[in-house]
Amino acid sequence: MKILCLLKPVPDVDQLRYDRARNVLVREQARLILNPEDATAAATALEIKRAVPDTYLETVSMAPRGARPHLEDLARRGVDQVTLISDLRYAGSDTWATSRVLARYLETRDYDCVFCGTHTLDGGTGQVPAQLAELLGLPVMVGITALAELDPRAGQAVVEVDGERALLRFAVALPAVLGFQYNPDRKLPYLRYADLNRDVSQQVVVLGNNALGLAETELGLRGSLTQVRRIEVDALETKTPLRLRADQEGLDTVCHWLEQKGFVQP
Amino acid sequence: MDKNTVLELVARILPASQINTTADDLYDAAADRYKKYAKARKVLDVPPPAAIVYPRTTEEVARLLAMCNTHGINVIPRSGKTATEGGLENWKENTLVVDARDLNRIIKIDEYNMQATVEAGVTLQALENELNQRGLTTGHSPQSKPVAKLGGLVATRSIGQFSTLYGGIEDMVVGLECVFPDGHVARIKNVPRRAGGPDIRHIAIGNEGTLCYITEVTVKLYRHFPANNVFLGYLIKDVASGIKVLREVMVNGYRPSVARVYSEEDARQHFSHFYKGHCVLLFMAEGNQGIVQATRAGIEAAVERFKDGLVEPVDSGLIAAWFARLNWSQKDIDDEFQGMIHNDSHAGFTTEVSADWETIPVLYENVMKRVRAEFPRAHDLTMLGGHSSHSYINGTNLYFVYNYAINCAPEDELRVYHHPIQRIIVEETLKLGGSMCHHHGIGKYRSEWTRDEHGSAYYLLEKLKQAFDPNGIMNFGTIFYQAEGARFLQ
Repeated sequence: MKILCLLKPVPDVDQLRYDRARNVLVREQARLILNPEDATAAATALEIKRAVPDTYLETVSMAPRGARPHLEDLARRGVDQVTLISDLRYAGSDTWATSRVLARYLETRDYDCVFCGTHTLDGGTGQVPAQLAELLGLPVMVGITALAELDPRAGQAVVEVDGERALLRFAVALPAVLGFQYNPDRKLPYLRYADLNRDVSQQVVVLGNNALGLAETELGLRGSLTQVRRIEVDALETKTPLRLRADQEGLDTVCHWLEQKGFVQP
Repeated sequence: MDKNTVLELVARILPASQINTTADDLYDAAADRYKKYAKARKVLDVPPPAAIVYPRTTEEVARLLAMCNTHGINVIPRSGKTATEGGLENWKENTLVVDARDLNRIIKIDEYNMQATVEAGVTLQALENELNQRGLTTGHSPQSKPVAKLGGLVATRSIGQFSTLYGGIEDMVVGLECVFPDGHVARIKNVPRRAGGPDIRHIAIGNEGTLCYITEVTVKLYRHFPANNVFLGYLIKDVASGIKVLREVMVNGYRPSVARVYSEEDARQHFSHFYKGHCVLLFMAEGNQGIVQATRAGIEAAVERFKDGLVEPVDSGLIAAWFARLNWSQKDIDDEFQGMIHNDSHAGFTTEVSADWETIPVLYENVMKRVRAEFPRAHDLTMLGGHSSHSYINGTNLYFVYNYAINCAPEDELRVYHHPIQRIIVEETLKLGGSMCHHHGIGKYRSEWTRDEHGSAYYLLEKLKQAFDPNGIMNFGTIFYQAEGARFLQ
């Protein structure tokens, strides 16, 4: 079985600062982390590899070269090949241009299934899985909370998706793009001290547009269908505390507030 | 000797009610907060002690130590259990943890002579509560005040948040009682000052349980004027600018109880609601009205003198509110522990050092540069900064503060992350002539540098150990480097 897993290094949003004077996000000092939903997808793939050792797992990331130390650790955690697609000409790519780059690379690979996260921390549009599937002509399922079955010989995966009111179970024809939801209980395996400095350079493949051969008009800002014109950051407001008595009126107020905010159903 | 024999020997001295062999408690006693993460994840690599014992009298302590001395059983003195540097960690199979839990009497509060005598197991908070009702205070206020106990505070040369005014614990202790491994009980009397030879209090103060067991402590008292407290805060351009102001305040003779400078990164985690991306300088002046007003004026004059480094003042209410929440309780410790069970993270680590005024800014920059350039997991750092929080006439301390995303197995965390950073800090500090530990003690994990810390004066320390603990039963591996424990230091 061959699994390709898309992994995006993203800025740690806890460390992002917003420069209100320049109206931009200050990313320079923000540490990179693996997008948590992508990490869940990779952890799921590594669990499969542990259970079925002849599984071949390749991660694919489109990121600046500075992400390499994070990605090298994936090889030390058990990934067979770590692919970093990196090219300055890709800077400014929107989800469509990104999907096109990824699709171009995936067209060159054999696989039974593509794993990824459903959303990313830094964008959150959730467009890449569907666009990638469209470009590759594959079925796609996102919001996956559990993988019940993955059987390339039968050409089918069975996945569970949280439908808010019910847990839904779908059979998906393979090969397919499967987008996972974040699951804090499904973690990447721990790195061990003995492996920290293990040379994994043979398992890391770095390539750019010279290898993929996309036209200049398909890259970066020029190849993007959308552009970020302005980012609006909500100003933090101090809320006035509401003090209630422990009586019927107080209870009614709390219940009404919870309903209004969508925490409970009316 | 096996553990059962150790327990039989202990049972000849103490009743069963004072001997604890509960598996969970022994696991907990195997390490202190230094290995908090590995402990929470149940992957400690050190052996549990044979038992935890709770003596109720000095005589019982003396009998226990003498028995251990005769039979070569390692003793870990414990009082408060808030150690952070491995001082309470166990490296021997046959170990007794001698806990001061039941040495818990406040013996005397002497308001006229302004001193209080307590047994080693009294929490500082309990003593302060008694004193505050009488308008008094010890002046000692470490963050661990609600949990820490007097015996442990003295044994580790602890310091409190008001040290710039009141001094460290070594400035507060007027006398004490301690027990040596041969069972000898020494009482150092309580007098205002003495010149009867070297000050022998300092053999016990800071011995970290490696020379003797402290059973009783007498500390100074001060009038307490919390209603007069004044808080001052400023945003400043850099750490060096803040250090200049601290020095100016100190050399002009002012003694604010709190005087701190936070780097931008450290300020972010404490003062995110007002730091605006800058370093923070803050003070608290306390005492009677006249002293408070004079101290305030002195601080404001110092800030004015170095106003080139000033960005803007901070609302003093924000500093007061921050200060009110500074101490951590047993609940905070328990909450962090629970969090570590489920998350690959903890509240971070610190390494605290000291040096003279001239050296401190250089040391800070050197460490920052080396960690960023040499630490192989720098990309996992989520925070790297520091603050100065205890100042003196000739210099100040630096508290390096760092945290990281833990991307390794829990049992590897310290050697992957903390140890390499700590090594850089200690090396740079010793290279520049500073002290590698300002107030946490050496514990076990800085013992490989104890000789370098003291240089030719290590001779004195070594002779003390040979004289008072010739069989090496007291807290094996703490302060004094032991090759047998080197595997834990990697």
